[in-house]
Amino acid sequence: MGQAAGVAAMTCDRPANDFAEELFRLAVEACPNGMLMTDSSGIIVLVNTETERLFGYRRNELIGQPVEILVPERMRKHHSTHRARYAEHPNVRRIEASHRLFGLRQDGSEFPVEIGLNPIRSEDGLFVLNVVIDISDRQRVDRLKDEFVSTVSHELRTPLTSIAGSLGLLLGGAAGKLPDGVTRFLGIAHNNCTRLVRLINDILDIEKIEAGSVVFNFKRIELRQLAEQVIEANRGYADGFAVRVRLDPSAEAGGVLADPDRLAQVITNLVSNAVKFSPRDGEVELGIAHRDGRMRIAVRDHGPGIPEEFKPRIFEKFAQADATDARQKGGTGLGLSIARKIVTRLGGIIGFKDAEGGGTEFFVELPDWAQIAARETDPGLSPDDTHILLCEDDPDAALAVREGLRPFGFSTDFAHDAEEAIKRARSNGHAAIVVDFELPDAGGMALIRALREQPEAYRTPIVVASAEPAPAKDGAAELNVLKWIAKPIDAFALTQVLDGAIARGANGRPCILHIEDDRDILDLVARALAPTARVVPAGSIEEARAALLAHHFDLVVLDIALGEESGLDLLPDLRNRGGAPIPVVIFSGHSAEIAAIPQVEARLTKIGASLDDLVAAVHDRLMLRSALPRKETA
Amino acid sequence: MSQIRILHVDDEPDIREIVDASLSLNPDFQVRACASGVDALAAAAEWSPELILLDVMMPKMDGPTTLAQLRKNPRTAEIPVLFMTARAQKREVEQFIAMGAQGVISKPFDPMTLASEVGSHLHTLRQV
Repeated sequence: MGQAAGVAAMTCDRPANDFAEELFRLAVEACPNGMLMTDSSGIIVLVNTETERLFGYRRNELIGQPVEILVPERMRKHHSTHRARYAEHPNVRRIEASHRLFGLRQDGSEFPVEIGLNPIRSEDGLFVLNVVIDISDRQRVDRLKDEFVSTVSHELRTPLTSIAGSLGLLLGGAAGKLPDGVTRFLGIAHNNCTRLVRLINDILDIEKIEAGSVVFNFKRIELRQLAEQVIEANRGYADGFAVRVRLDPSAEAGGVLADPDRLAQVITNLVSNAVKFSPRDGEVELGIAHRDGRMRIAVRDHGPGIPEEFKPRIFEKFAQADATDARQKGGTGLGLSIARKIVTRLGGIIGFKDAEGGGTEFFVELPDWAQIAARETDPGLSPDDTHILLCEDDPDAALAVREGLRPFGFSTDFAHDAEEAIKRARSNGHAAIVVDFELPDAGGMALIRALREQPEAYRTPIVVASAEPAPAKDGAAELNVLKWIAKPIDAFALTQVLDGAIARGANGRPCILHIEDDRDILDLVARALAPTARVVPAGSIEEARAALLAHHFDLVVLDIALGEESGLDLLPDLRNRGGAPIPVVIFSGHSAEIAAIPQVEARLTKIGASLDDLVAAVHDRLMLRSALPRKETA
Repeated sequence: MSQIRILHVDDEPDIREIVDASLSLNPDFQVRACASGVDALAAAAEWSPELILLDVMMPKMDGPTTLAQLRKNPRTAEIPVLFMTARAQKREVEQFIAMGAQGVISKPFDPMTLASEVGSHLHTLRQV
């Protein structure tokens, strides 16, 4: 019954659609994943059997309920915020396991999920078809695989350590001088032992990179310097093949933003490949050049070149032109595969081409530091922007935060490492500093301590973004960290934190005090009004009074039922410092019987009025109607 | 010059023997070996070595736990510890240092240069 009612709720009674509707219902029913449909206000209108099984509810217990009942309490606030944001830009979207989402069963237990969202537009507004995939099994298998890999590697390496150690001692003469024949065979055993170790290391390396558990520490790298280091480190190896490795004298000076260890690993791999495939007394050249906003590092050999049929597979695992080659050349068949994975993570590309006059040229292209540096300081859209500093080593993540903050009137300078952060904090005044706790060159704690030692940043509010929860409270308190927020940084959540801390100039924008005990509604309203007004949220009368002391307001949006308190009690206090009453728009759960008060310019109920109505009412009061690009509502 | 006491902790008897042979290449080193973290705690307190080489993955009490226990006892709190591990990725090295270790020697090690590697660690530690 509930199911039929659900479908009826989302479509009109048009017999012509009956067949299509029945097909749709059957398809949803047959799906082996949980499927449920929600309407524009997040109410469940349709569920399938798998959803009942996953969450332990019966169908009729779910239909008509807000979808948040399937979300753990601690995530509900976020969930409704995300839902509102999704409604603004509905698209087919998959929310992957990395977001650590959980479903809440009726019995209170939780299970990890992946969610697919599919918008369905109808005359009755936006519906969303949610696909819920229980990923507990997948996570268990992943965990077992991790444990297996870790155990196997330990179990393999322990005996190898003993074998390599014993052979090394014998070959080194620790047990006395050995006959030549014995030395030769021991040498073979020792070589193969180290090869096995390399192979295990490579397999583990690739495993880790694929699992995303390798942390990349981005830093500015001078490429000439890096190339020289790699050449030096591989000199002994190249000597063994009687090959000379040199830096092309025409190599250009320039830098990139990358993880130095990992980039060195890639270049080392290319150089050792080039050496391996060079003729005796051959030469390998490293070149560095600017190229279309990127820096290109090239490694050229004078070897036989890559066989045509092998070219398409060259970056695949265990791909070697000739299996016997691997044994001769001592490679593991994983080097280029690892190199490509690393370069991709560094935001670059890797490739190769036949070199003129024979041989092969491998190259890596990475974003040019000069281009990145040009983006370091943010002039902002308006001189009224609030200027903050973001210390974040991953350039893409930093850009995303900058763009996310821009609509809220922030301009964001970057610093990619601790040294730069301190330099930049000293030279430009910033209203606040956001620190990525996992910066490469110094721990986040050390950076904050160093920032606090600068007179320019002594009192600047600092927000820490970290993948880990806040450490022991005393450390944070000592450094006066304003708040710990989760990575990846949610720009809107960050604006809420920053607005609470910075007495922002109005930036020419009107300033609104919103008093409301439901944090979700605070979020939604702030977001809806963000393009034209600055909204200071207050969750209680106490918070509202504190805000009134700190800011000048052009308007108050007031909820009446504030837990035990009544928003109406606050009316006499809603005055700016000069004593002038602040216009009030009441936005409340029910229409309260209150006497006409001139200060109250509009009354809306949450049931009767939509968010757009509230926005329109606020804009009316602020006389912004003409300036406002009217939003087309579905 | 008196000998430098080095305590080596590893659950693998073969590795204990190889490390002993490797370190003995430096006649100044006096090496004692323990097969478990528990034995190491007792030996460290009683023998007061100048350096402890500590395996990471051991049954019952692993290297990091052993290190934490060493740091708790005032008699052993100041003894420098080098972890010996196959998992010597940069990040893990940083984690070990954060736990209070002074450095990491990666496995498999080169037995002919282990003594000089340990020697240079000791040299650096003395300068600090």
